[in-house]
Amino acid sequence: MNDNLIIILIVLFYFSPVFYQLYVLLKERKEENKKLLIRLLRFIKYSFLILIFTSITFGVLSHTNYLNYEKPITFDKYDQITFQNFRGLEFFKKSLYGNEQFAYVVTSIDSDINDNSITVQSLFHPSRSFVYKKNTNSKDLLTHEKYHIKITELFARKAKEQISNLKTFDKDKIEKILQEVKNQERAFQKEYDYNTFHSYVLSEQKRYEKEVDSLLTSLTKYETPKIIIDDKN
Amino acid sequence: MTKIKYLLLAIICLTLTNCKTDEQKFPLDKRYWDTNDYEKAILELRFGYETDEKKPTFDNPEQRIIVQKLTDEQNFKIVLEDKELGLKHRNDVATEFFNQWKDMHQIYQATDRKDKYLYDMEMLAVWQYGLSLQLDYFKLGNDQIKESADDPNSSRVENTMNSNIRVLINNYTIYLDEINDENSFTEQGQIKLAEGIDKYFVQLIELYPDADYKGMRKKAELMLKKSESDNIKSSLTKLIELIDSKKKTVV
Repeated sequence: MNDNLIIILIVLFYFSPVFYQLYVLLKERKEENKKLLIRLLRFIKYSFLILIFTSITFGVLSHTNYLNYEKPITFDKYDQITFQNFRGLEFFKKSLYGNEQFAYVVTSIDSDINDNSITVQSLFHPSRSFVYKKNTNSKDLLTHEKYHIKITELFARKAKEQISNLKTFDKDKIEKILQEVKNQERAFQKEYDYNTFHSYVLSEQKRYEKEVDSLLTSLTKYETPKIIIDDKN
Repeated sequence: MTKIKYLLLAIICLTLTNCKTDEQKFPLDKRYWDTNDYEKAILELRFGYETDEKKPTFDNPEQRIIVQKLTDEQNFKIVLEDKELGLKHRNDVATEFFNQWKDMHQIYQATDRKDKYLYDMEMLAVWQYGLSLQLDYFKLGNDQIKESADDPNSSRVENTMNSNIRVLINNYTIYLDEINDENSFTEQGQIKLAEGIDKYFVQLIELYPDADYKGMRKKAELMLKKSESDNIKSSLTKLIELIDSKKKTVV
């Protein structure tokens, strides 16, 4: 059994008379303790409200830093991205595998399906991406994080390639392709982090850089976000 | 009475929050340990246990992972053998790993009243980790000497490099000293000791086939006469044969 659980059970057992007395107090609801009880319940109610409000605020700001918001950046501005764009807040995670000098990037594949066209583009979310220190000069860390953005772009292009090969405009098929590609992208991002161990293994980092760059070049044809599908039948 | 209860509750809560599991003491989910991780782990393993408290061993399913992570050669190889990294950087990291290993060596040295090692398998795993590390460490050191020298072919550079190789061979020879205490090992320990000779000494001789192994050969001969373990005798015989074969090739 978990050590902490055992200790909690011991504490609960030890203080069981106290909890019993509280239970009796609540059950009796005598006139003399009713006032005290109402005050206690009101205090608990407000405490919970404050706790819930604080938790929601922290949760929202941890997800997206609206206090220092920057709208998502498209891949055509890739070269302009620096750690200054990493505006996210991190309240809970203080280190990554014991390393306090860490960063993470949030990217997504955004799509918009119209009548006979579809827009697919990779986005980098500055207000959701975090770096431990904005003025860090760690080029290796920045390169590693920026290749996450490149990987997302690579899979956005792969999606566009597959959609372009469709003979007819079929929304269900397009959505299926997009979902599959998004899953593949997540798996590739994980593999990239695992094999490079977050850029610690430089030879692996360089291998991925070469691979991603060459794949991106081979899909240059699908660089533009919008693709038009003409029904061929 | 109520005050005492609250005080006790506070103490218990504090204890609860300070309780650390193995997971927290050692970065077990970290793929590669760096020298900082080693420093913390070695400190914990050397001084974080009571005198009679059992340290993590290979035969303990719950704590096996700690000693496996500790003696995982990939932790240093992933940096020292990464040619994308600079030679000086790798050499600096190798020095740090080597210094950590010297401390690491103290973890599993304890013996009982019969002079038997309490952790022979773990002690030998640490030894063998060090043998492997030294191959990379000394090679990187010599590579850097060569790279930073004005004339890499000068006799001065050559002498310094040869001197380093001699130190490496001497360090390896110290491993053979363990055979003097072969009775302190379990049978499995003796097998592991012999495996160390088979694996790492062969790597050393293959890496530096032209080096002077006279001292090591002499030591191996003496140990061969002294040892009563068939496994160790067999490994020593193979070692002597390998040294002799290289000598013949050089001639």
